[in-house]
Amino acid sequence: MTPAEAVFQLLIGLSFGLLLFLLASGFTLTFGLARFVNLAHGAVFLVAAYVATSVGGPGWRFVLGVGAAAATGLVLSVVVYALAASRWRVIGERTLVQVLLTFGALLVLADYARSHWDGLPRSLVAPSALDGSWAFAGSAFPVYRLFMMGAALVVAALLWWLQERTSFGALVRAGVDDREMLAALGVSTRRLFAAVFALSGVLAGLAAGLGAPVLGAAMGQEFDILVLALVIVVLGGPGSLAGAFAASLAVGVADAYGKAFLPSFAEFTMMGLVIVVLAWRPAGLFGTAET
Amino acid sequence: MSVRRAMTVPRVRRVAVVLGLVALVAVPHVGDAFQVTLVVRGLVWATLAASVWFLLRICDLPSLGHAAFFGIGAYTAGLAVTRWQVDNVFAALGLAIVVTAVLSLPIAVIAGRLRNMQFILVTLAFAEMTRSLATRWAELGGTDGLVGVIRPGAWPFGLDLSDATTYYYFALAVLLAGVALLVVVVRSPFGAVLRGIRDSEQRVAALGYNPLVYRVAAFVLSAVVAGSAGVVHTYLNRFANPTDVAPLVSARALLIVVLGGAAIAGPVTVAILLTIIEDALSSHTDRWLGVLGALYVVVALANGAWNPAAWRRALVRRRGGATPATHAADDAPPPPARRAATLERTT
Repeated sequence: MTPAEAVFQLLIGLSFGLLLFLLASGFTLTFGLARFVNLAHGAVFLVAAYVATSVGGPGWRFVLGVGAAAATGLVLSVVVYALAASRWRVIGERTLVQVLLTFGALLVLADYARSHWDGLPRSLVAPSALDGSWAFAGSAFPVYRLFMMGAALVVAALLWWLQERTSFGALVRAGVDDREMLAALGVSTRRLFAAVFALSGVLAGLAAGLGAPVLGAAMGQEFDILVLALVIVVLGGPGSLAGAFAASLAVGVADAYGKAFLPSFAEFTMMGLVIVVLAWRPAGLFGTAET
Repeated sequence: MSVRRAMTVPRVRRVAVVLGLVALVAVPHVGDAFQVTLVVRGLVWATLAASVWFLLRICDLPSLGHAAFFGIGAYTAGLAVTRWQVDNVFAALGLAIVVTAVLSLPIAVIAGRLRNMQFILVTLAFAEMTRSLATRWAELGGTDGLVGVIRPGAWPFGLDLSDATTYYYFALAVLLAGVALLVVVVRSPFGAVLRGIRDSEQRVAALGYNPLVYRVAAFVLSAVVAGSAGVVHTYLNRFANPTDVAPLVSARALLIVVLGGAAIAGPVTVAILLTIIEDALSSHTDRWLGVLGALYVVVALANGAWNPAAWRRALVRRRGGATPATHAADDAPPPPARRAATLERTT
């Protein structure tokens, strides 16, 4: 690999990593705040991606597609929370029941997508203004990937502002640290959880919509995407947005280098990353020791 | 009354186990070829579920990644006859056990340091990476998997495994050997340390045991039993493919264990019954995955009601039995000492 190729793959990896951050940030918030494992997150992404390819179209209708994907994510994520909240006293405390519930929801959503869109892969064309590519290091770097990076960075900045500069963010941070204390102070944790699930759905939907011109929508994504989100959450430390950000970029770059230079064994780069980081810090990069 | 109960319950359980075994032995004599094959499938699931049961109930480690070890066993069994010219089922089984043990070790070392949700997430992530490796690695046949697998010979026994009835008994033997191994381990001093770590890691560590070493050993043992299930699975189907490593496999195994309760007989029974129910379901609708998902959701939502231990306590209360009143009243999981006692009784 020449240095130019390395830089090229680095950019590909960073753009994918930023997209992954949108996906994983919602997962890490629900995981860190509500101690809830939402395995349905991957299927929410899948359905949102299919919605984006169906509603979206050329030109300005691309925005419509992304918006529809975000709305789909919001609705589905809130439905998953509503199911769990109907028996929160049991489900909120038992990880295994959460796994059962959300894995079941994942299967139902994936089965719906399979039957509604015939199980065929679909994609969304990027708006013509973003459809070109730049010659770079002997390859063509798609302009859309740059746009995707920019858009994801804007959303990430908004999320940072929400988390660090608003009272909502203060509640979330307090809840991640000690939700019993937060509840004792008179905060309705149920409402807070609902809001965070809605936010996580919107973020997954945005990732699906913005990613549609690159990743498209295809069956199997519900697991592929889920695993990337899991790896990021575990690497970054549950509940930590900064950790999720760092881990997303690392995972995106590891994925790009793996696919480019070791096509058959791309997963080894990811496995290697997980092993090295967790051997070094079992609680994740930005994680605190498990209580 | 409580004294009489204490004597009758284990006897009822022993009778149930004997009846279950008799039923399993009798299957090839009462069912047709299709039904026998279906129950073999159930036996494979039961073996896999037993391995997951061991990790969850004895070590409190919920694995959502046992498909990886099941798949490693399945692919090793396939490679043994298609590439490595191994023509002995016991040699293939031994080979699969060694390969599974070696490959599960690094995962065990990483996952053994994690608990609860992080353990679930990491095991699932490793299993998914294994699956993706299986689909991409040309040597393993890609998405087609390994085809043209034949059932090997069974030297030194003069058995013909291509016969459905003989294969049924082979699968049953693997299940019983796996269950026996796990039960012996649970009752051994090693198992006592494992249960001690589950109930109070700090105290056991203070006694000078290294919890990580014990957890890693338990993880590898569990992986090996899962790998053996994979071997039986491959020779049953005469192929191994990436769906054997799918997250659906891990999730189903965990679901079976959650449904099955504390004793090892639970998951074994549930595995066989669920396989039969699923077969009936899939012959009626091609959207059975969605139906299965809905079933998982319903079971999860009904979980407050699905609590055999609470029923038993309620039953004892109604009969005026001597249950410690302090713990009988609430639905909270029993304290460690009681959990260990429950397990002792049930295994």
